Amino acid sequence: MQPKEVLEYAKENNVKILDLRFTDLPGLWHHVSFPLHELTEESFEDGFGIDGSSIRGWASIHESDMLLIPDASFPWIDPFHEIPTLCMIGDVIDPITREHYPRDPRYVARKAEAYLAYTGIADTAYFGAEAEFFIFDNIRFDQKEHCGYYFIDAEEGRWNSGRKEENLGYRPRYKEGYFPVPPTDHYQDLRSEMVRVMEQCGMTIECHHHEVATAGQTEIDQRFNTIVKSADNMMLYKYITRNVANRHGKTVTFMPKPLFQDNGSGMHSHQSLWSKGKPLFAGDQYAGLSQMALWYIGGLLKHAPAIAGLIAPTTNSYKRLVPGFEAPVNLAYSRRNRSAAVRIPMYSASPKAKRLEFRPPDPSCNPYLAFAAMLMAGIDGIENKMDPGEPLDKDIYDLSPEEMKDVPTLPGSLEEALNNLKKDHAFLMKGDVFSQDLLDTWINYKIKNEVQAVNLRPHPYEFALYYDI
Amino acid sequence: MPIRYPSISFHDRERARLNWSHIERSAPREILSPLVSLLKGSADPDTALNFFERFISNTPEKIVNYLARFPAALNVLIPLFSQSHFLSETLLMYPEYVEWLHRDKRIEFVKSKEDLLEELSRFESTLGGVELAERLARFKRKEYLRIALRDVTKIATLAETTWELSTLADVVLEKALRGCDQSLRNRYGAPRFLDEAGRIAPSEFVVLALGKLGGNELNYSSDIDLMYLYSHDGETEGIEGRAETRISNQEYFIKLSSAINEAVSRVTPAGWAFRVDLRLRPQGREGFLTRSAKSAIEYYDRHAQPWELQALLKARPVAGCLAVGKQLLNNLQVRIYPPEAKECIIESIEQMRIKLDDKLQQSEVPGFNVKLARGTIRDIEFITQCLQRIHGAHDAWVREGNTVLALRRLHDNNYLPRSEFFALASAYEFFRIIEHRLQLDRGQQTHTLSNQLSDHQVLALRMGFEDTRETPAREALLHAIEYHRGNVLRISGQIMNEGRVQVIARPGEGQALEEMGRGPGSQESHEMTAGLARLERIHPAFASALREIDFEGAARPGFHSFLEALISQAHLLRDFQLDAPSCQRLEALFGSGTTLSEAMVRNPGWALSLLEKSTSASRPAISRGQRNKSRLEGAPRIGSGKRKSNQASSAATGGLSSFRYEIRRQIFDTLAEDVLRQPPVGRSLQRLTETAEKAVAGALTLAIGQLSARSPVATRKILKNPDFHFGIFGLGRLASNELDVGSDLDLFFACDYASFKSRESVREVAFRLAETVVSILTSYTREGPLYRIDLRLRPSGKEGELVQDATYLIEYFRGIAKSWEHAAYLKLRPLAGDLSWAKTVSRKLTNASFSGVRPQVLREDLLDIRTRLEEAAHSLEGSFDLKQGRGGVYDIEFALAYSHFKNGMRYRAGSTLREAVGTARHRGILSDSTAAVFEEAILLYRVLDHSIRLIQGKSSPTVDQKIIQEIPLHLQGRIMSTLTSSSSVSRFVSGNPADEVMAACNRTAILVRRGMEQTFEGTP
Repeated sequence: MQPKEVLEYAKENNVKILDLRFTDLPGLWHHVSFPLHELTEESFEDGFGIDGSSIRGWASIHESDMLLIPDASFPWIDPFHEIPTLCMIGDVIDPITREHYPRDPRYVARKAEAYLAYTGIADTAYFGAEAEFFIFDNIRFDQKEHCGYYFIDAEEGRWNSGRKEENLGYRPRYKEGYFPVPPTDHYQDLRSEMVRVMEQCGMTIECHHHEVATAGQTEIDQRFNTIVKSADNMMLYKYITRNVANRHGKTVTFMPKPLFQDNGSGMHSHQSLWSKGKPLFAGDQYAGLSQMALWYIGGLLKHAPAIAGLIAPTTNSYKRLVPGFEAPVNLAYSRRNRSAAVRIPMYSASPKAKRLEFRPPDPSCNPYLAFAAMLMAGIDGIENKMDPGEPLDKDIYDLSPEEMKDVPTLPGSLEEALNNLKKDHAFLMKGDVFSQDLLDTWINYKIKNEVQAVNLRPHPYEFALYYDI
Repeated sequence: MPIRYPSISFHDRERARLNWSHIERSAPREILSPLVSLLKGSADPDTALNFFERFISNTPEKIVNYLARFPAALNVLIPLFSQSHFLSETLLMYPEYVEWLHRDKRIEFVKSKEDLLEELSRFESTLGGVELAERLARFKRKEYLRIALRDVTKIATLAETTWELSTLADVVLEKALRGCDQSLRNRYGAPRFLDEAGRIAPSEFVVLALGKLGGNELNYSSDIDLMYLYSHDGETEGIEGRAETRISNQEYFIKLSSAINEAVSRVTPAGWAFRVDLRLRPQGREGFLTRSAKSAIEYYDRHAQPWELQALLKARPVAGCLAVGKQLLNNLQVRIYPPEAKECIIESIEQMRIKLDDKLQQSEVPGFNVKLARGTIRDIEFITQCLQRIHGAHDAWVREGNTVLALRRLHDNNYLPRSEFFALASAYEFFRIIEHRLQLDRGQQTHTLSNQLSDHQVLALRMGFEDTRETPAREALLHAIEYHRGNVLRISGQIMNEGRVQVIARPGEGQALEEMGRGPGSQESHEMTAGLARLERIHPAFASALREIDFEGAARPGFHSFLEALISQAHLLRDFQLDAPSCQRLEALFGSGTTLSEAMVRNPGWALSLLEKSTSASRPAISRGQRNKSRLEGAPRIGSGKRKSNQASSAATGGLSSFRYEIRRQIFDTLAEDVLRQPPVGRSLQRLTETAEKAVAGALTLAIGQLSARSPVATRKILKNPDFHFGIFGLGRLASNELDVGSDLDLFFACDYASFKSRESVREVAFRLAETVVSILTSYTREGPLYRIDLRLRPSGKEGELVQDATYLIEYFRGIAKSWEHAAYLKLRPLAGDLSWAKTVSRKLTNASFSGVRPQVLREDLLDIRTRLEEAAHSLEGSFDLKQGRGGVYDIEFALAYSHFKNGMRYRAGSTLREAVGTARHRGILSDSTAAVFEEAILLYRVLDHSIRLIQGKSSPTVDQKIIQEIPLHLQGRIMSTLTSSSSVSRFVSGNPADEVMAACNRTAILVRRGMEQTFEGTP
């Protein structure tokens, strides 16, 4: 839409409030609201001022004034507020120089798209990410000097099968939630409502279903889109799922591994490159891929240990990324084999459907940064003709130790991932997509606020192991 | 015949094999063989082959066919593929640029701002519908290909490359400004203010560049440091009928500044034009995006920190109303160069260095930082700026933004000794080239050479170092880094700490630093020993031969610099044999003063080729194309410019840098031969004059080419009009075939306006031509200007028109010319332009001069002028002014002039002074005895003058014992043989050459004065 059309749209919908959204560095959506009369055509140039100093990973106090410039291309009416509220995503710019704020993750994604076009390899990258999540009924957690705990409860949780009161059974067994019909699946209607609200907000949804784990693990698949749009959609997706659940007295989490001994939540990312409306990943190589696609895979596999710091960027991610549980720890590629980090879906013979699925990312990432990082890794693979090696069509977990030792793996911890990122990031900085400042800020933030913070705290299981030492 | 898989040492042989097999299938056969040759010689054959395979696989057939027809176009592709990933991507994206680059007949020319503005306009017209930011980005990408190609194939010098990068940025900014300003004016009207008289006047806008762009020394990936200013506060005129469209000028210009930023730095599918950094503006990040000039001055007057003022050292207006920028900077000169205690300046610079050290310590990027590490670029810049601040307060000449030119000017005015100047300038160039190669690779803003040996090797090859049997290229690179850092640290220590050298090595840099000696004597010995030791690793025989020579005194520092230059270009020594006679010649050359030393240090290949010519005829000469060493033997060459010979006209067609190179080479060859063979001094002076003539003619050819290329049709028509007569005339020593080292070129320009109705337009063309010629000859480069030009001999001197109307000129000499002008124009000689017309003018002018002169008046005037000149001469006790002193050259010139006019005898154009005396005697207008005295005096004075100029590199009017003693032994021979052959000068045998020479001068002066008096009195 153009700014004028946005104003008309707001008028038609009797909007009273404007709500601008932006994403901080770790990946959380923030918002600030204005009465609608503050929104004029000039606002799309002049922007709205905010204080960036309290936003995680952004400016320090002495350089905190920022402007949010609404992006007119993607307005929607918020489905959850009583008072009609028009929402838009804002790009963050310096109020004086009007330069894009280099630590705005959305800007990074824009630059990645521009860089792809710059290389001439393709003009569009399509990403379709499948972010899984859990639906709980209750969550308690705290961490104090003398205690640390979490308690999860979910109506659908298998652990409630032995409950005395209000127990009608039909709860998915651990790792067997994919995907029996109701009543075992408790959340059909809830998911459907989420889908309906998403579509009301302009998203295109392809399907929804229960996922493998118990306790309401869910997947709702959006239609693929360009990187920035796909990431925008991912932020909206998370917002809608949380708020719909909240409306029904439930709580949603995108944590990668909230439940021990059950599957974690991934964000398998389907991706493909196109040029002038033609798909570039279809060809006559393995699994119907083109040579370009294979090189792209080569780039992803080569740089996976480094981009892990962006696509699986929490300490909890590495509770998911362990062998077994269908987690794609091993850096290999295969058609149909879900234990490989890269899978080539074989649902359709159409070239337009030819894509690869990169399975290590999880939904705790910042989608703007994660998509940009994956794309840059793939581009590097194409430019340098990185050979992905031979595909692995056996189940990796059935390989002998001798065969396994030749298969490289993802890092085993966030700290290791961040160290890899520190060493290997030149490919991310091509075309100034990621800046040294952004990467340093990211790494330092994660080390200080997450890695060290978790390392400092005793783990409940340590008590079980060591209390009597 | 099949092309076998090339036996090149690829790192990734498997990938190379795959690439090659694809290429063999898809590329035309014609290009395979040249491709192999080029890959063998490229710095990074893996990357080059990889990109070439991608290129040939994806490029349209039309381009492939072009390559088949013109395999020479590979010389465009392979160097770029080998040196730059990001530019390779441009070629993949726009393969048609291969043809554009290959066909560029002006590839060897530097493009001017006007050229680029015009090309950008044409380029934009082909991109209908594309927005401004993307148009600018695409244009920049395209021009970067050309600039980088000229750089990596060594067509361009570093100075030209940085100049072109800076000019490109200037042009992009200018275009951005014009586009954005027009758009804003359409919305708000033009910004205006009320002047002091109450009239409405336009408020102007200027973009000031600082940092590297300000100094015309931009990198491939530098940010451009900008400041936006406007002239006056006020209000815009608004759009008629809409009062709300009137906004304050501040608001208008803030929008304009922001729009320019956006246009220049926004990321588009074609990338971005330039990264903009505005933090050097008043109040830094917190400051307004733009401010009025008045407000800026107030800020710098009252609030600016010292570092902010220092940043203005390099400030330069680049777009918009340049006059506003220039005026602001003029107003701030006192602030930028305040009279400060030297200690305060040194202290403040030292603080900045310490802050940089801390920043570097905190950086976690491993490797060697060529910009920030001690002894590298930033230190050189600090040294330069320190000296500029110390001396710039009282000497405006040193206020120059470009680092190398600033060093040159500091040296010119004796604030920086010669060896230090050369060491710093060489080091700066060296590190800047490293920086360029690092940034050219990925287009990233990097200054760090990693610790990986493989990266060192690739960089070394990209810089032109070669592997030798003994040493891989990367070691030569590291030696060179060590050498230059050592020099910079030593000089920095001397300047910053007044004699104490502090060498601070940052842990983990991976470079060992040699501790340099503390005092000059021991330091030089140490450096010489260390240098010979390093040379021994590269060429043991050469080093061993050099050890036998004892370079003494003045020869030593120059030779040491030459040694290090050789080490850094070790490939020049490959297959080179040095024998004892060659070593002696080297000693003579280095002992003969600064002109030759500097030239040999800057171009060691020249010295080697001189030595080689005189050894074995069978050994192939070292290629004069040391600057083209990236081209392989037998490989097809790019462009249509070909360097053929010593002829200035062909040098002129080869571009400005080639032209300058050829002229300097010819001057060097003449002086070197003069030192080694010591021919009659007149022969050397004649050769120097011939070179200068070629330079003038070549400059005119270049000037015509430049004007024709970038001027409107009307100008081109005038230039081609057969009635357009333009000539360049020589006077003084240039006219008399006696130009010497350090001589100015006495020139004037004339044109014939009479044939044109529109005199003004012809006059304008003639002026631009003359200005361009002057600019070409006098442009200040790292080597200094090619020549200095003196135009004051034109009618009305400094106040006179640059280009004289021939008709007026003739009438001037017929009527109102002064006596000294008649005398000066006696030697008039046409040099360049329409020579046939110029000779006619010359003849008519001479006739007019002779008809206008009254000999009696001339006599009195000349005697009067002579007396005044003599009084102004540098006549200290024990010294003699060869030119102006009593009995000096002017006595002879004045006597000759008078006798010619008195007798109505025309001077033969081009005669040397001695020949003119001979002719005058032959025609009876000078007595035999006077002529004999004059002839021998001229011989003595010329040989003395020439010897002194050779040693000092400039004209030195006065000779005394001390100066004579400084003339090295091997040059004294010619002086003494002149004395010996003199018949009218009694040899005073004292055993002390200096005494003998001074005595001879004194006696000669007496005789000359007597001769002059007799001539003026009319007595024999």
